[in-house]
Amino acid sequence: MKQNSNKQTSPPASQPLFPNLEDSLDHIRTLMGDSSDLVIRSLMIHKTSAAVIYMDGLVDNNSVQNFILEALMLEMPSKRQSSHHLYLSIKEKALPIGETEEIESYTDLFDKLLSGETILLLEKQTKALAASTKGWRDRGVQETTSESVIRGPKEAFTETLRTNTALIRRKIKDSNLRIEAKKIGNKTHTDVAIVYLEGTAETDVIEELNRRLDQIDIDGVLESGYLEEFMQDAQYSPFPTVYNSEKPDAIAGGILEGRVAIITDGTPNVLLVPALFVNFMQSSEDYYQRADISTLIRMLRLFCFFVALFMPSLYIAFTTFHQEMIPPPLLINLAAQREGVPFPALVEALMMELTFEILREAGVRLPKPVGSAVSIVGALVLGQSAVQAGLVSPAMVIVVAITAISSFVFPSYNLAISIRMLRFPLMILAATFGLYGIILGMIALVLHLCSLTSFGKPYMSPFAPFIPKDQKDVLVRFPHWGLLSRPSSLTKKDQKRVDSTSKES
Amino acid sequence: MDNQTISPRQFMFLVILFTIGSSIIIVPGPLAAQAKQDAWLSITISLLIGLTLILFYNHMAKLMEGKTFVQATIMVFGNWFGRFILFFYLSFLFILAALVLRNIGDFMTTEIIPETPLQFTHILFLIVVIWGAYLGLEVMGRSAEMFMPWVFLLLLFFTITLAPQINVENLQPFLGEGFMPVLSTSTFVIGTPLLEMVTFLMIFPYVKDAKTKRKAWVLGVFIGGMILTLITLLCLLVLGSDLTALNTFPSYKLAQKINIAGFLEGLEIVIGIIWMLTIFFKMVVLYYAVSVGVAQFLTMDDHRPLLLPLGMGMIVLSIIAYPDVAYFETFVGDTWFPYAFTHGFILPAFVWIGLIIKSKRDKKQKDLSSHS
Amino acid sequence: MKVWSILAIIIVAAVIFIVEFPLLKKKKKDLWFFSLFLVIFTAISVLEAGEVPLPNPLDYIQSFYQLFLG
Repeated sequence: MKQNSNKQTSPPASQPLFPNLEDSLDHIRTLMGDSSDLVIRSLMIHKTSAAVIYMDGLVDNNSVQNFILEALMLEMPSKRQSSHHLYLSIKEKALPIGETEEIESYTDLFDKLLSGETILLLEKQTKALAASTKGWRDRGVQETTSESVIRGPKEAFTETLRTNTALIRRKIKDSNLRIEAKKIGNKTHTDVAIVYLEGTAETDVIEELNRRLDQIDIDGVLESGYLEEFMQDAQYSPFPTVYNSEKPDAIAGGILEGRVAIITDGTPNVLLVPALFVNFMQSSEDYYQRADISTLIRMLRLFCFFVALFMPSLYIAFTTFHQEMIPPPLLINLAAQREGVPFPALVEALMMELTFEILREAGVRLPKPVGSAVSIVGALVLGQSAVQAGLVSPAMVIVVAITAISSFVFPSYNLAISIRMLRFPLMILAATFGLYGIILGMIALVLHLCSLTSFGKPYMSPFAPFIPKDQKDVLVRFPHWGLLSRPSSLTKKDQKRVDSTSKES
Repeated sequence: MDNQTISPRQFMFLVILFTIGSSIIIVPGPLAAQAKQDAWLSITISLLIGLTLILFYNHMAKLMEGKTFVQATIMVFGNWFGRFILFFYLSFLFILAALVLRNIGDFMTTEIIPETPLQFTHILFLIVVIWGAYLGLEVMGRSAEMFMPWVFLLLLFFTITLAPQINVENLQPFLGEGFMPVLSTSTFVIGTPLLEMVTFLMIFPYVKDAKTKRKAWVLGVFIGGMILTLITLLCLLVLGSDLTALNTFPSYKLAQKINIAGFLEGLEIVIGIIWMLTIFFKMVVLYYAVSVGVAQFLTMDDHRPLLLPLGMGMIVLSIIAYPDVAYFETFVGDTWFPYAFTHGFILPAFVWIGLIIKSKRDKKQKDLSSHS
Repeated sequence: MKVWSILAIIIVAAVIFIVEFPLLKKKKKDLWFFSLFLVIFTAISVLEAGEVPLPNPLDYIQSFYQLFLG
């Protein structure tokens, strides 16, 4: 018989539904291997067999019971109808559920079933109804853990796509906000949504993004990081070209600038493209605090960027090669400290940096009570004892500490990662060629940064190419009444943001 | 060659950096030796002559109609004679690049990292230069845009911190030796870097915006020349012409004089950084021009495979080019100007004449064909 | 010391060739010129590392101009 031919071996391609209800249910049961969470409720609606199928745990049991089962079992009109008419009447009149859809193939059926919708099958019908009853347990909108702010909204995205899109909708109540859905991942069928403002975001970027996402052919997408790796511009660069954030206001800010957000179901981290270098040095809090302090803090961040990147290398270069450049009193101190240390500056620096990296990684995974013990161990015992044992010089400890703290100044973790990685080659260059090596390393770095693009936009805009109009929001932050236009490197459309007369003198 | 273009402003920055290039280290010394306290006047005169030279190059570029110098020469003089001329042009650029590399290598090995062997210094520098040339003109232009503010700031810092030590008497007597030494030394600055601007004939076609790019070239040379004049002036004002003439690297000695509050004295390294940046950009422009030139000479599609082998050759040349600084100073003093003049003016003038004849002939052909 | 330098140069040249080869497989002309330059310059580098005195182009340039002007 025809239904036996495609059971276990071939996937249920766009195969239409079997009209015979029992065969259909058998098919579904076999394909799902009789999973224990698959619930099949057979019922009779006026002598027509029907079945309600759902996955226990994914659905909101109340909806299923009160709206579907009750409607079908208790509140159907008593007139007897043919199967086809019954189907139509259920579809149009009987189910008090907001989102219903017709499904005609097993692929769609499983898609919907496994997404938490309830399926209604009727005898002798080749179409079925899917009703949205999603109601799984979610973490709920909570305070953000990795992007704390002092002033500003503290809510963060959750792992459910619909909650996240809602959070963005609450920020941008414009009808032009578009949310396009995709499914990526052959086995996970992860829902991915692309969010942008029509008329502000550039169509090239949107098309390019769609193209890159459509060509992803992978088993599973568990986190937005998977998508990021597929769609980023520079595979081998240590610098990130895709921005990500947990906070709706940061993402909404980006969308208002003409960027495109990508929400992935299952993770609170939302991606934002195109991303320029300066975006990783900015925080959404910059816009909520006063303009003057935000400007100073941005400059501090730039300073910390250099410190975090170059400090250990500079220390190595100066103590190994260029001792005459250090002012004499300081030089004497440093020399005295390094007297007892058996290792050359490079080894000392590498050891300390490595130790710090170990502590940092360990700290992330430690359970809370043990965490504080480790930090005490690390700071006091290791640092203090290492110095007293003569393994490292105190100056080195200070250098490593300052470097580490500076790298935490960045609001964006991806950039801190890049700096962590780049520090080590620079240290080696410093140890072999001194300051000459560091400068050459810096030139090479700038060359690399200038060669990066993010979805077609030069990574170092608006520094190079220099766009004077955009300088108002990079190193300094003009007050909001002065931020007259959107960053023109992101979008040429819809430039005007603020009416220049809106600030009263 | 890789379909990259740069904006006129980026081009201007490249020109400025190229002009300052290695000249900032090697120019003040020999000038002060001959023109003494009027060395700055000598540069100013050379600059004026140089600006007319740029106008000449500009006109050539217009005649070349968007082709690089190599392509245009082959077009005018044919495959054999054109290549014969280009052999000299390209070897000029290659030798110039090797000498510039040696300049920075010498400077580093003398003042900053004395214990490192010269080869390694050169190899490291060249690796970054090659990478710049590999990434292409657009990246070079953007990097120039990024570094330019820093170079300006450092120069400003340099000038301000030295201001207290300026001694105007060092400039007197004005024209004390007469005008002749000033004129005869002006050929020095024309030799380097002004005649070396012929390099940009390889890059000019890739600059966008035909109307403003000519102005950008002239303005770039002007600003670069002004900066050179400033540095020479500072050397004379603070060190005096004798000390400037004696030192191999007078501008570095100048930087060593910076003394803020009696405490910060090691700031000359900051100036060393400027020199590294300007020489880097001069090198990367030269290297790009050479590799694109050789690639077009051989009608290759892409200049990139050539980058590494040319690099190997350049390292060798930079080492064997001269055994010591004395040889270099003689070479630069006696031979460089005629050498640069031949390749930077006579050769292009030759091609220019060829271009004019060709365009007249083409116009006559067009008139004939439109009449018949 | 000499032997190590020569060996290093040859290894570097080989690495350069291996790295560039796959990219140039299609364009024969480019490949030929690349290899030509690589071989010539590797040879020169080896000679230089082996401290064989190489002719200095600057000498020739100097003598040429001295003929004219000297």
